[in-house]
Amino acid sequence: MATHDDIALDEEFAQAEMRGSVLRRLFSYARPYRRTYLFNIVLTLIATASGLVGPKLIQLGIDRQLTGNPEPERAMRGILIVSGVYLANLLLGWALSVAQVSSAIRVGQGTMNDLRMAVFEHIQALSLNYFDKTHQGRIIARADSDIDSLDRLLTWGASQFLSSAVTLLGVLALMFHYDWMLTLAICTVLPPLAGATYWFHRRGREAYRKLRGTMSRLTASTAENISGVRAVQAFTRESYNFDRFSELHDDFIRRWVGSARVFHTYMPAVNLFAGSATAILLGFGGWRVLEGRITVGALAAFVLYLGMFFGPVQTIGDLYNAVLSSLASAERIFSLLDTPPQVRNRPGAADLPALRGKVEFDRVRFRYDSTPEDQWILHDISFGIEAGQTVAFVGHTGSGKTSIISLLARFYEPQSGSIRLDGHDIGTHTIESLHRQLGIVSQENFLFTGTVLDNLRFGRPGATLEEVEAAARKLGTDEMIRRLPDGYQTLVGERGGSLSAGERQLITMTRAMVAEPRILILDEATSAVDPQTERVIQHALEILFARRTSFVIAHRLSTVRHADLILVLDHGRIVERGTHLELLALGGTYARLHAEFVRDV
Amino acid sequence: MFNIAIELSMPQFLGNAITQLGRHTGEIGFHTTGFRELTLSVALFFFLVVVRTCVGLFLGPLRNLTAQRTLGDLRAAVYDALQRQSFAWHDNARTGELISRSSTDISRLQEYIFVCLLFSVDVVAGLLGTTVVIFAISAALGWLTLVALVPTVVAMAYFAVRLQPRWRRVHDRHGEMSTVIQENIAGVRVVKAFAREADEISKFRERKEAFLLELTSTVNYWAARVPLAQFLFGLGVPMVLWAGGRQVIRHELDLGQLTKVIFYLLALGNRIGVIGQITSIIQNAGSSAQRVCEILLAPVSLKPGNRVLEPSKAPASIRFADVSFAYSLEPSLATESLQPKASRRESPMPSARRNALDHLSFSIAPGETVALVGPTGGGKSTLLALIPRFYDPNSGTVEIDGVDVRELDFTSLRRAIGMVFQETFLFSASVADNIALGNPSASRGRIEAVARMARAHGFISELAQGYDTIIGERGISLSGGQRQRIAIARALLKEPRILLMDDATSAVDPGTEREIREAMAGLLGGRTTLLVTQRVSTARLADRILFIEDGRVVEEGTHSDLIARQGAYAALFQSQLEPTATR
Repeated sequence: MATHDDIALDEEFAQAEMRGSVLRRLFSYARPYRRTYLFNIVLTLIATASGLVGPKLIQLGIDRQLTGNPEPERAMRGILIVSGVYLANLLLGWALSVAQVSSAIRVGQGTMNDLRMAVFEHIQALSLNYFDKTHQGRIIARADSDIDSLDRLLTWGASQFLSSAVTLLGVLALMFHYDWMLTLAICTVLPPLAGATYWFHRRGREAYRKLRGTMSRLTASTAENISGVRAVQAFTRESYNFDRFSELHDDFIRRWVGSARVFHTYMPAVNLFAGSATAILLGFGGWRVLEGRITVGALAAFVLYLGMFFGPVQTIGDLYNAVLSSLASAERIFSLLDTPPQVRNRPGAADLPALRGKVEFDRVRFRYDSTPEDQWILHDISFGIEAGQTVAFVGHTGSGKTSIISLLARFYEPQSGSIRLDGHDIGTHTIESLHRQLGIVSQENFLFTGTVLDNLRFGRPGATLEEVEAAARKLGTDEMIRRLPDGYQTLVGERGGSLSAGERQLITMTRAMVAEPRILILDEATSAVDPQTERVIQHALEILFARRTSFVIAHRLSTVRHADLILVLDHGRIVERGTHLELLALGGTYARLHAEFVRDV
Repeated sequence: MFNIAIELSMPQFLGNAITQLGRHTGEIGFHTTGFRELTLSVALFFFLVVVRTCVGLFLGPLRNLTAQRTLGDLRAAVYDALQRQSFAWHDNARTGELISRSSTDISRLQEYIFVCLLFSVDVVAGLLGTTVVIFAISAALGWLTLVALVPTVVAMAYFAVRLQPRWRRVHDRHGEMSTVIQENIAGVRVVKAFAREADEISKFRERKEAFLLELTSTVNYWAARVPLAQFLFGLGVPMVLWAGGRQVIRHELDLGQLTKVIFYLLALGNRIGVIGQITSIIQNAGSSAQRVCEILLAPVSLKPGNRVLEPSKAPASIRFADVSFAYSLEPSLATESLQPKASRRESPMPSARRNALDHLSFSIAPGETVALVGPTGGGKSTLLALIPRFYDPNSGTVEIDGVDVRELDFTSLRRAIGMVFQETFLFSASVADNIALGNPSASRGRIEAVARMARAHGFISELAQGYDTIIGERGISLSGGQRQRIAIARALLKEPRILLMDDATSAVDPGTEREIREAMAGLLGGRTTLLVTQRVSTARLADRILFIEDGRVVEEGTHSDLIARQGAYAALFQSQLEPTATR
């Protein structure tokens, strides 16, 4: 039922072009680990050299000691020495590989997780407009799976490449050293091998890209079914969804087999070329031995070296693919890191001082990124309230109530006009100092995994249990919290454990109280609370409203009646302003809404 | 097997050729015999190469298909297991954790099954075959090979067993780290509103460090031990070189035979090297398998009955008989958690597990409309959730048309019930598809009709693509009130015999709410309706009102009865009644 075109689009870039700038930037994150990196590279070089020594020793053993050595005594001693050296070389290889793996992991994982940290920190800095237009799964993927996919490149990339390249060159050099004619003869298989590799690379990349596309559709479908499991069961969609999933999955298998077929054609092809090279070696080399141009030991060493030759060729091809897909991930990560926060502190912005709470909106004009060019969400909104006053907003859905509040919290910035607190323009001060003095209770009552107490302390981590309890008592929620299974220590999760919607709302309100904000914002905060509880809160709010500037949005007009100023909004304009009684006397929109409200009850 | 036989015979040819060449070394000039033998060897060798390529071309896709079939079944099984798990189980599991297990862990298994099929057979057969061949060449060298091989295999197996739980911890740590990201992004507005960015960063840093530490220590464990196994095996070559060399010098063994053994050992060494790498992949994937299996093997607490509720348009009766219910707080999936929850360890039984419903009894006649009112957390939503059997009561029974819901199968039971939850989940699909959730084949006309009833037609028509506009996570977002109206339309489309509405219009403005109410008033007649509400205006429409507090029915009657009684109901709605009084 879902169209996942946007994700498929994302996967268009599953493999990027080889781009030096991205690679350089990626490796700039490895800079703190450069000593370890260098160490790792040196180890790799030594280990590779040590690997190349093995066949040479065997050749020496065969030629010097086992053929044409007339004295058994010296031969015995010789073979012992050769075996001993071989053993020593093996020991060296062991020690090197231990150090190599652990240094590679330190560099690779260290870099990856520094990058992860950078992404997470940047996400914290981004403004809400980014979260409005980018869906959650995709942001999460940047910090999660995209980073994970850099593993191959960052951890093993350099050492694998170096070791393969050095082995390749070393083997070639040694083979040339033994017999250049034989080496040239063997090299005749290289051009067709290169051709096959190129073909594989092109076909493989195409197949892989398609595979990634279906893979992410599959994941998206699974994820959605998990988040929506309650709706799925309530509407008995299990079989229907399962069929849809199976279709997607069959598609995935087809693509998987398709992409694997490429791989499975390539591997035997490589083996064919490797085998042909060995056959050439045996034929041509054997002839050279018969002619007495090379020794039997050299031929044996050739066979061993040839065995070491094709591995690196494959590794490098494979690595190239891995680098391309890592670069695609890296590009996606960097594009997130390069997204500037729309709202950010201006250079030299100072902290707001402790506020008294006077608020002024001065000809504020605003639209969202997604709003069409010729429309405004707010048209020249101007109003002012004194410290400690309560202002209420009334109007239909989409009239601009929530937008005004979002601007006050500087989640967004107006296109023109200014908002001043105690005469300070909020645009020229730091966002943190503003948020520290605001308390917002919104429609969505999101709680974090942890205890109720952790959640209540969210706005003021240093608050003591006594302070939290005092705030809850003042608000009238203390009793409700105590009735929870473990009181203040009750664990809540993404679905709030066994908390009812109303209880969650009361907790989010208490959370705002604990933060002791100078300015309090209530956005439809009381819709799921029963009338009696609402009354209790109303009472508490009145006490709190008395001491601090408050902004209230509520559908229930009973909530707004006591406000010092009521603003009636319609399509982004203030159409009426005044107190409850003034507006009733005016006989306009508010009076009509109020009559409607009263009739409903 | 055939493949391995070929691989094993290749060094044989090389060795033979070398033996022949060795025999002719030192002789000078052109040797017809030598040359003929050589040509024969090369021809045979090349033939084998071609055969091997053909076998490879055939074998690869075959293995691949098997791997993918197995994996496909697994993925589908997990998908199905998840969507059939009870609400209680999902309540106590984290969405992020489930998603990570059903996608990341399965993909890791993909690697595992592939690697296993591809290499295990090769490796085992290769080890055995090679040993046999070496024994055939020289028993002494064969024993030497075993001396190197046996400790290697034992060490590998030992390390593998030790590594598994470590990888498990690494995955669990990774899961915890991902959960922080997920929650942070889901709650971004709260984080910003409370200026908690810095604290979130340090929380994340902590999880990241924990993950990194676990990973590094696991990899270091691996790095310190698995190469040891490779080293042990590598010892075979110098031993053979030395012992075999002595035999060659004493003319007890052909030089070619010794070369052959060395070729075999080195080929085997490559395989062992591969094992070293794949041990870690397998262990890594093994713990993924564990994480996936925990989903598959999780007991399903709710088993559907086998009675089918006859399809009918007639409203049904509902009866609650002495029903008690408490939510389970048992975590659904075990992860080795980072912080031992000390407070919870002390009291394994959660202290005072609150009964959400407490010996609740009432019955509702077919066609009746009943409103449930009462204080927050009193058990109203819980009560509704027991009717479609999202949860089973701990004691007592819930009956529909006189039948215990536990005897009914889920499909016929839930098809008969239309539900509007407090929170509306919208799938990433068109508006029309979302409304047609309960009946994917519903006609557009029907969809529009129910949307009109739910007062959703107006705003849907104003959307860019009308009913074809994509909404949900990957589409445009709708306001709370709009979502609720979609949910109402969704429930109405099912033409349910029982309609359950949980504060279904809380986010809708009063004017629209009244319109919905008026449109629905005509509909309510044909079905049994239970609605939870906080608004007296909605409650007064009901035939009967149940006042629910602390999981019991405290008061019962019509609106005017209850107002007249001046009890809990009248007290609760005092504020909403006030405005009328003041006017």
